[in-house]
Parts: sequence; C-alpha cells; structure tokens
Amino acid sequence: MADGFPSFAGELPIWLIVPLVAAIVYATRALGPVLMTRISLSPRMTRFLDGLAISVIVAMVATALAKAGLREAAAVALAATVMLTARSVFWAMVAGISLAAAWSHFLPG
Amino acid sequence: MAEHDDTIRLTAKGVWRGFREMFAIALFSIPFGIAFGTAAADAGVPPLETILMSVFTFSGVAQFAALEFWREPVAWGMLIFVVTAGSARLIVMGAVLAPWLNRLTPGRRFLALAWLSDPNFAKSQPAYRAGERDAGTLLGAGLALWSLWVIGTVIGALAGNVIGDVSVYGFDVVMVCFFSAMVAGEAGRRTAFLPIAAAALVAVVTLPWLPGGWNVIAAALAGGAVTVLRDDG
Repeated sequence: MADGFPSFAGELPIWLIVPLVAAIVYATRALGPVLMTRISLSPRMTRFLDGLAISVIVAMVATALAKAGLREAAAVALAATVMLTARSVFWAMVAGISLAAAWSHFLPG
Repeated sequence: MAEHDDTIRLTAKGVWRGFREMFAIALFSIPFGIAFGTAAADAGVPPLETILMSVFTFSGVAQFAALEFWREPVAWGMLIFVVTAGSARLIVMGAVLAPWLNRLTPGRRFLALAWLSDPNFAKSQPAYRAGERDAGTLLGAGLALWSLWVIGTVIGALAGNVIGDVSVYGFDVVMVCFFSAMVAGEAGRRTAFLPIAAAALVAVVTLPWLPGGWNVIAAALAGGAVTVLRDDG
C-alpha cells in the first residue's frame, strides 16, 4: 500500500503488528507521567490534547455510523441518550446493545 | 510537621477494592472481547496473535484499528500513525493522573500504568480528587477490565465460528455504544461541544476522499485545533 514507507517495510512479517501495537500503546500510557516530571504542559498544549482525546473517539463513532445502517445509528443514539439522562455507562451500553439485538431479531436484513 | 495519611500508596487491598468496584462495568469487556475476537478472525488474524494482542495491548481502540492493517503488504507508517493517534488520549489521562502516580516508586507507577484504560481512568480521576490515596484502585479496576477482555477475546477467537454472527446479540455495537456513551458523558462539559461537532463533521466529510483511517486523523486534528483556537479567540 502506498503510504510513503520504504518498500522494505513491506517485507516485515505481518505478526510484528502485535508487538508493535502493544509497544505503541504502552508508550502512550507511560508517557503522560514521564512528561509531567520534566515539563509542565503549556495550557495550549493541554487544550489541544484534550480536544484531540475526545475527537479521536468521536471520529471513530462517526466513521462507523457513516459506513453502517439505521440499526447501528439507533443503538448509538439510544446509548448516548441513556448516558445523558441516567449518567450510567453500564445502562447506556445495556440499552444500545439490547436495541441492536432486538433490531436483528425483529427486522433481519 | 505531622505528615498524616496523605501518602500515595499502592496496596493489594486497594487492588482488590478497585477490582470489585469495577466488576459490573467490566462485564461488558466479555462481549466486547468476543466482538474483537470474531472481528480479528474475520480479518484473517490467527487465534494466538489475536489473544496475545488482547493480553499485551488491552486497548479496544488500538486493536480494532490494527485489524484494518492486517493484510500484506502492511501499511506500517499508517498503522503507527493511526494507533498512536487513537491512543493519544492515554497520554492525556496519564498526565492528569501524574500528581498521583508520580509519587509512587517507578516500578509501581509503570505497573499501574500498564492497565490504564478509559473506564478505570474515568473512575479513578474523580476518586483521586475526592481523596483516594491508594493507586491500587486504578490497577485493580484495570485488572478487572483486562481479565474479562482477555476471556472474551479467547471465546471470540476460538469459538467465533460456533457463535456465528455476533450482531444477533448486538455484540457488534458494543464498542460504538461504549464510545458514544463516553462522548455523551463528556458532552456535558461546555468545552467539549466544539471538538465533538468539528470531529464528527470532518470524519464524515473526508471519509470518501481520504485513504482508510486518515479521515479519523484529520478529524482528530481538527477537533484538537478548534479547541485551541476557540480558547485563544
């Protein structure tokens, strides 16, 4: 795939994805406290990271919904509504998942 | 001066308490893990690699993102970018918890951080502000989420074809429902509206134009940028 990486990278074994992803994710977990021992994040940088943090999640939901159908949109809308009203992640997920399951059961295809 | 009990510690008792308190929400890690295991099987990832990914990565976002790249030739550069951007929020969470965690010995600090994820951060951060001093609660809650996530992954990876189509049980929407609940939880904050709107708009508009995954990066950067610009303006 043309992603601008040198072609030798194409010859690396595919299973390297597993340790690579684990290493990246652990590094992001460890980086925050390490950074904070050295520098204090500027207020602008803090705000940027704050905006980035929620935007990544929003973007993934929006992308999934753009590719999916009404069923997934309805499940997400219900989960978000329950979260906004009941402030419970647990019940938001129960509601969204149940709706999707019921939809598959009663409105297959 | 009497330094009374404000010491930050990490105890087994705290770990167990964190584990118990997180258990109900952590149960969702099982269907979430099953959904990941079956999605990985669909993407052609062998069961061992799938399970190792859950054991050592323990991140739904990063792992689902990685599945998109499981085909030869691997787009390594884009994989690194997407996984890093998808995990950038962990840097923020770690920075927020730093006043707590940085008072532990490095060994304990980096141990607790290995199990840092969205739900235990969301629970621990207000608890710390409210006076919780045992960082074991963060670790214990993470262990509850992680162990059930691994169990779910094993079921999905090994029995995915027996279970069949997980959408019958609504398992396919576990991740997207969890994310939308997190976004809705944040949406109450005044500062969250602009990045949410900007990110959703950019993600959808750029989806047909950008190669897979890049629309998420564009949307994330847009959301980060509007957050900075709004407060500067």
